[in-house]
Amino acid sequence: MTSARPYLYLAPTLAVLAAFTYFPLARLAELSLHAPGIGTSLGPWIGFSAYSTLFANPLFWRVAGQTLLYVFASVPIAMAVALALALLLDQPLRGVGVFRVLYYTPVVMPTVAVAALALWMFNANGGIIDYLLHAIGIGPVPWLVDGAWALPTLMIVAVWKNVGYYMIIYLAGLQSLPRAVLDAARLDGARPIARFFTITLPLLRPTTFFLAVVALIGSFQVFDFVNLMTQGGPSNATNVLVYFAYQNGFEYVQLGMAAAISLVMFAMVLMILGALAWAFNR
Amino acid sequence: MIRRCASYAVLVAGLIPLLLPFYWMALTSLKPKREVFTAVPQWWPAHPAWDNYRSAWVAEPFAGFFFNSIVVTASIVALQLALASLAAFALSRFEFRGRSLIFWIIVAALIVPVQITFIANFMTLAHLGLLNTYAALVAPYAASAFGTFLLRQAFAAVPRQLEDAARLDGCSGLAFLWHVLLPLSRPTVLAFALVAVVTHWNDYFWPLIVTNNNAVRTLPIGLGMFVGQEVTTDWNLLMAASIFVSAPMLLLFFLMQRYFVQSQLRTGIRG
Amino acid sequence: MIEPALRFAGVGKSYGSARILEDLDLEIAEGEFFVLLGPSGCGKTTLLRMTAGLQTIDRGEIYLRGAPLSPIPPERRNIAMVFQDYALYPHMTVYGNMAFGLRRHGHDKTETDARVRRTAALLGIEPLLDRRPHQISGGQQQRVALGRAIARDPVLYLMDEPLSNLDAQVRASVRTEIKELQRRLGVTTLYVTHDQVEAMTLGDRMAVLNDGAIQQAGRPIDIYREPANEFVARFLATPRLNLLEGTLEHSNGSIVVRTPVGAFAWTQPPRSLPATAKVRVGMRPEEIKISFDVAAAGASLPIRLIETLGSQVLVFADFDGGELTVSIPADAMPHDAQRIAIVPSGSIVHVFDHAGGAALGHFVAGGEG
Repeated sequence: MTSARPYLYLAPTLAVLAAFTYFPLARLAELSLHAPGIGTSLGPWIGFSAYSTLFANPLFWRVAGQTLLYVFASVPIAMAVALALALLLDQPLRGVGVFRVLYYTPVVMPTVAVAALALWMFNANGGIIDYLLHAIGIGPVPWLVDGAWALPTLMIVAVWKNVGYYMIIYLAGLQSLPRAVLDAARLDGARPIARFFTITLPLLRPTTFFLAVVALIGSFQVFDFVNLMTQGGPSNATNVLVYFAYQNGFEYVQLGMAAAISLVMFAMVLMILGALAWAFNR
Repeated sequence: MIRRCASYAVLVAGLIPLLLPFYWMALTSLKPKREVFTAVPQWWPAHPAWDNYRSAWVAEPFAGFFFNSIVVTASIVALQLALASLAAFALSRFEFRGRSLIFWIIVAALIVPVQITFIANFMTLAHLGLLNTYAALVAPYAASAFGTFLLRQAFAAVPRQLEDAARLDGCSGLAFLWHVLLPLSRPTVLAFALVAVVTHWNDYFWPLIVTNNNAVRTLPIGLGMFVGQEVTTDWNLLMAASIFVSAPMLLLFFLMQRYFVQSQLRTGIRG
Repeated sequence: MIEPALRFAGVGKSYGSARILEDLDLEIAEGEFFVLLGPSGCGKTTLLRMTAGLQTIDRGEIYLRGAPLSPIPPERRNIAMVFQDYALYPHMTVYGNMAFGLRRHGHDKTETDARVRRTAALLGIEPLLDRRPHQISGGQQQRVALGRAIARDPVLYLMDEPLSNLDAQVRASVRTEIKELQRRLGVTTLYVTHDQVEAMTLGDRMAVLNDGAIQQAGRPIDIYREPANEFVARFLATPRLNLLEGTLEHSNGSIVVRTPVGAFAWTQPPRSLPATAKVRVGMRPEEIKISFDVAAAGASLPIRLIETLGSQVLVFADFDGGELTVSIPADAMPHDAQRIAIVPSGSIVHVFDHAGGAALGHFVAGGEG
């Protein structure tokens, strides 16, 4: 029985996605190929010149590199820490429930509050972290004021905020592993470390893949911490693609350039997802 | 036994970097201004300054931001639940042409976040004259690909015979969705609603793009402005503000933590 | 002429080019307990779902008390259905499950409450009314599913293998209960099963279905005694029908059926027997007479295996070209038996056409002529 009803039920969702997800991709392309107009109108067609200007700009390459560094350093670290925590919390220990809840708490915090707190804790003037490090003979570290340290500092904050989410996903993966296989490996005499690398980790592959996809897409979008903590500084050391597009669009009012940056970033995300899917399906 | 102790030791050690920031935030928020900067940090507020909260509350029009956050978050979550329920109902209980294509169109939206489309969406809303309105804050999030996917999975798990039984009981179509599918999928609905509440209450990026007027600004924007202004001076007030901006989500989380964890177990794919 | 409660007139169903129900005709009388028996995939559940309105009728029409059902949506057919998996609403209490359909059908709270309580009392499930389905046993869930149907007070019950999810003991007692209830309420019932014991015990009449077509319809005992074809005979045999190659030998008015296990005299064969000599012979395990006095008999078969079921014993014996299964009372079984001899006289024989499988006749063998 075919009727119009299912289409009717799907219409609102499809309309919203069309208007705010798919149409904008086309609109970005259109914007990036035209000169700036007045207000929201388009200027004359300029072809790919926005892209050639972008690719000729050394700052763009620096920003793209910093974004990739941020993504590919913070995501694996956070996932490794999360997996370790999940393994610990997968044991039948008393009070694991409390630990799970506590480790998850940063996930529900607003990024703005986390940024405010991090600004205070990493502050060069009275920050508690420098004080504690000083007590064990380290520092002071120029966390947010030194170009070499600023991006790693943002990564530390991001890992702190996200690790609980990754931990819960890994925990879900661990709890759905077939018990019988793990028991069989045990009877086969595999030691815990060997069991982890030969049985648990391979069986967790789908979870790891899912998490890698979610984490990559998520951390490519990093903006809040940059905007609130460094404004891309010092001297662009923490500038990343979304922030770069935001700057071009709203500070320099170069909407075409901003659109080009967004699309290049989208292409990068797609390529990385493709590579990831290829790597995990081999 | 040794392993157990070692596990506890690691878990407890991990709590230090995890919980210290929360403690430091709460502690700072209660310190009078002259105790904020001391050569040796004070680990307990000698003279708790509860007044900090009132000062922070009025430093920006936070009451208005609070109201706006509630309106915007509630609207988004209500719309997402309504639209996702309908779409998931169609995708899970009807046979029709293009069903799997439509399903993939919806799921693919997950890889196109607003951080990519914001320039175009900003221009659309500017063109419609909707900047600085609740509509601009809500409309792009009215549908949720994620929620549609979750509910579809939940609805598809309801056995066919139950649909038949309901039909003979005189309950089909939207009545079946309302009386049977949604109540039966309550854990999923609740889990998704919680994730959506937290996501949109905390959202900083999109409101930043489409608002520049205190009449519609939400809490994260208000706090963000506070961060910009107070950055070198009143850490105690900033921490107090951070706490009351975060408090509703922390409260929700601790009250419903069972469902939060459940939601992640539900939404993460199984290994 | 009295209009039957339910009449199927040339009812057929196809999926694409696959005909899953041949155009079939069937009449079910008012108050009758009618069983549709057949293997899975024979189309019996499809027929039931079409009657309920859950599937469309491609060809023909179903009449309920003379009124065509096609134009009526399922909820307005005044038919109640009991499902295989019970299909209770997990999020509602037992009370809610029974009340839901009544409320949806526009009964007010008082009327609904009265009906639910009356039905619960009838079924003895009053203490369960506040529980949820997952808090009660399978047998109790089954009773609630029945209650949901009964409370609706419909003109027809449809039951789709309602006992198949119960364990053996509960199944037997619920089976009896269903039969008694139906007697008491007198509501026409169409019951689908693949279990021949259920069909035999429950049905006033039954129809055997296979490959989307009715093989035979009638009283269970008549179908058991005179199966219309090989399929029906096989389906109504436990544990299995012995099927033997046989030949017909005509001799002065009577016929002798020769099989590898013996020759059976057919003293009053029908006149219309075809001239063919080759037939297939079916004998149910409990219809074969045997003797352990091997010396007296001409031919005997070696026993391969004995299975004790309690009151009955199954004897498996080899013959040239196959295995014969015989069922006898346990106390008739000697301890040291090695061989059995078939006693033709008194054994019951079903003769089928060698090509098509249609029954040619059924008889109790006389002594060999």
